[in-house]
Amino acid sequence: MPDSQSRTTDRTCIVRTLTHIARRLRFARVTRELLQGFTLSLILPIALSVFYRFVEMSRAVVFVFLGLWVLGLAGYAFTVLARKETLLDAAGAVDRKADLHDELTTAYWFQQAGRSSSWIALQLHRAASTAANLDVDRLYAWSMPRRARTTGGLLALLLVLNLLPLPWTRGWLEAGPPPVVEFTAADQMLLSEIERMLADAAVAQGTELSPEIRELLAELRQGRLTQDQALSELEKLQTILDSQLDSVEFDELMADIANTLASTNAEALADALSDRDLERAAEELRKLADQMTEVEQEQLQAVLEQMVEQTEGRLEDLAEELASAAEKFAEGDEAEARQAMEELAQELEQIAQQRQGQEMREAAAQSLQQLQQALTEDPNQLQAAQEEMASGDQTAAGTPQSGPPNQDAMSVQVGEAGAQSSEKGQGDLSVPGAGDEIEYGAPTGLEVELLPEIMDLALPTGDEPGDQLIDQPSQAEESKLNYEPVEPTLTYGEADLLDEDTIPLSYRDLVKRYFQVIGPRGQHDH
Amino acid sequence: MITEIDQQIEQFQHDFALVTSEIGKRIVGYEEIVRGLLTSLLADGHVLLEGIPGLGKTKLVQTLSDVLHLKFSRVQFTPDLMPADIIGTNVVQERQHGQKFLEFQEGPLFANIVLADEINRATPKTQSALLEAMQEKSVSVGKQTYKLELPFFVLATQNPLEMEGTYPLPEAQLDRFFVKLKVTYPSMESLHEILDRTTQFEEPDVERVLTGAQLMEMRRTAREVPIAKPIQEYAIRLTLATHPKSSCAQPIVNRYVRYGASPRGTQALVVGGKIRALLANRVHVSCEDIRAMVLPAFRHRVLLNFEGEAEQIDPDTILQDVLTNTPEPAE
Repeated sequence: MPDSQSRTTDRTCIVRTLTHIARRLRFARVTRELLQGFTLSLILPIALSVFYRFVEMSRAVVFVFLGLWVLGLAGYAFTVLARKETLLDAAGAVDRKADLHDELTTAYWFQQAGRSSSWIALQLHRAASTAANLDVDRLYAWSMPRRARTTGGLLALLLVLNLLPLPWTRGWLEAGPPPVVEFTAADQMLLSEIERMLADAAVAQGTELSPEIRELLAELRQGRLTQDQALSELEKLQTILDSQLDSVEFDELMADIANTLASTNAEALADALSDRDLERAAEELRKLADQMTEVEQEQLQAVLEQMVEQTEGRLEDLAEELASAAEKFAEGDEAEARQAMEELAQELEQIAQQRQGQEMREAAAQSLQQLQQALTEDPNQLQAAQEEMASGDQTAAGTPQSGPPNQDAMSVQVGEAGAQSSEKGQGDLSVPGAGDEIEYGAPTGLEVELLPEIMDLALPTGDEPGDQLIDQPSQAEESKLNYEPVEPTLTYGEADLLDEDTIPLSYRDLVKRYFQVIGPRGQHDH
Repeated sequence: MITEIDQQIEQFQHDFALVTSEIGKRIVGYEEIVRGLLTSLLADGHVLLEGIPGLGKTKLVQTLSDVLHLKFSRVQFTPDLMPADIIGTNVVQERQHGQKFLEFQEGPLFANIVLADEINRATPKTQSALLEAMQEKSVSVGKQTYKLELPFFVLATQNPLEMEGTYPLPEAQLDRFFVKLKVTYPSMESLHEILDRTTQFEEPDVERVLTGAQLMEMRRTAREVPIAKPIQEYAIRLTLATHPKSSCAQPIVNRYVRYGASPRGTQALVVGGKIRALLANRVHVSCEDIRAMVLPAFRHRVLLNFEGEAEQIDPDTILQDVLTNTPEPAE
């Protein structure tokens, strides 16, 4: 039987060898599993790189994604590293690898279980001898895992996609902050126009453009804002402008006063108020004060008292002036009454000025709305709409077309004074607004040979033939006109402006008048 | 002490090789069968030899008895064989004074090596007469129990083809056989050798090379071999894997097996594994030793269900599947 020293040596030898093997196994396993995990995980950043090639993302999104990826990898590495190899596992592995017929497994188990007998001692002795003769370095020689090639390939692909500035790559290093809104020249012009209108409005109201609005407009004009920021700024401006005088309420008030005056002999004044022409109304008021008789004074006093009731709570200054005038009329002092009428006329002129400023503000607000709409719309939709508009212009000249949404929006805003149709692209711009004077140009003529054509149309019962719009080219014969291709003589800037889906404010009046001029005469006549 | 053990192992291997060599003088081929026979003999187990007639099963057993200094008897099992014919019976004897008395006449079971030829031709009653002898190494006649001389080794043969007029061995009887060895048809080379040896005037002589005491010593040596718990656990898992609905059972087992191997089967794996380890000059049992014992030790212990019988599934197929799908320790 081997002595105790020999047995200790055998056990030490076995444990030392198994520890060495366990370390090797651990290294091989950790390398293999980490490489495997890393290789699989590389698919994510590569997919992100490919995605990023086509869809723009902010640097923050890229960094967050990469951070999560690194965190995931770290977690995986932690679980891989946390797993320990037991010496029994190592014994089993080396038994299989070196074809030892479970010799080291048995020996290690006997040693751990504390079993002892002469046979077990012999087994341990033999196992120790085997362990001592094992060339662990050769048995578990380090070699490049086969998966390393795949890993290298994927890593190279990732680097190429992100670090090499090739024409077909777009690296993460190029990732910037969220895309800024770059206003076009037309938008810039629109912004300048808005600022000018707001300044004019402020001057008209005897004030100055507030620094807050000026600052907001400057930020927008300078650009370098994200879409969200730009929209937020525009909304702020809109809110500021919306907080001003309610024009609808004003119009209603003027209509009420005009109705009240209609029963008196101050018809001219009533007409002026009805037309919201306050300056004319002031002049009419002065005329009325100069020419009124005593009976008319009494009549006017009653009307003024009625007007006081109507204006109270809506236009306090005007209500006070009206009340003062009514009082003067009641006192019977003619000079005082005329003076009160003069003050009333001045108040109306002041309101007229404010009204003018307000209209400009409203115009500016509409322009802002238009700008907001342009920002929120999908660029692809805009492009499609532009293309559609362009093709519609080329192929269907002379026939009513359903315009794109932008065109529709444009027509609604431009044709402010006109009757607005609910149908797409058919906003009736021919009806003049109040106060507009339309200048009709000379009718244009085309040398078109019209061919009468009998169309087989089954009209629905009750429909008048005149109401039908035949949106169809002639089927009888091709046009007799010879069309020649005409090279555009537009400058780059003009062409760019024409391509825009919005009409710059400075051109709106021109466009509006153009459509009014070419519109059917019949609609203007009534 | 280590030297002594080494000597014991060396002696074991020497004796084993000597017997194998002597048997090989008369029996051509069948190295695995001979190895299985001797393993069972050294493991204190009994062997069921199955093969078609004419393959030399009986010859093999006779040769084994010839090389061992052991008492050999042969019983040809027939349907009319009665238990008393193999166990023995009390017969009336008369003394010189005319006084009569009953004396027990030992049957053929009272030998060290018993060849139960064509065991499935006897009725279950006679087959069951072997149960006590095989397990307890004793026989009971009337109120008297007679111990059998050790070593006691039963070698039974059966023909798998001629099923008419046979009585399949009951499960309890089958379980008492340590292994079931299938004697297959010899190869071309072996047939040449067989013809060369058996068509001459004299049959090769064999020598008796092992005594009963030596055999018992070899048995003790074999049982000394230690086995680690992970290896023993592997043997247990293999056994459990043959049981339908057990946690280790494979789908094929669940489908075709009615009953799996018994604990006697697991014992056969371990003891047989120990002998194989010694023959491989190892002092520990490995999984490989256990695996090598699975087919002979389990094939007659795995009982097929109706579906398995109907589809004539070979238990060896099921056991191969069990071997393939049962993981080794630390795997």
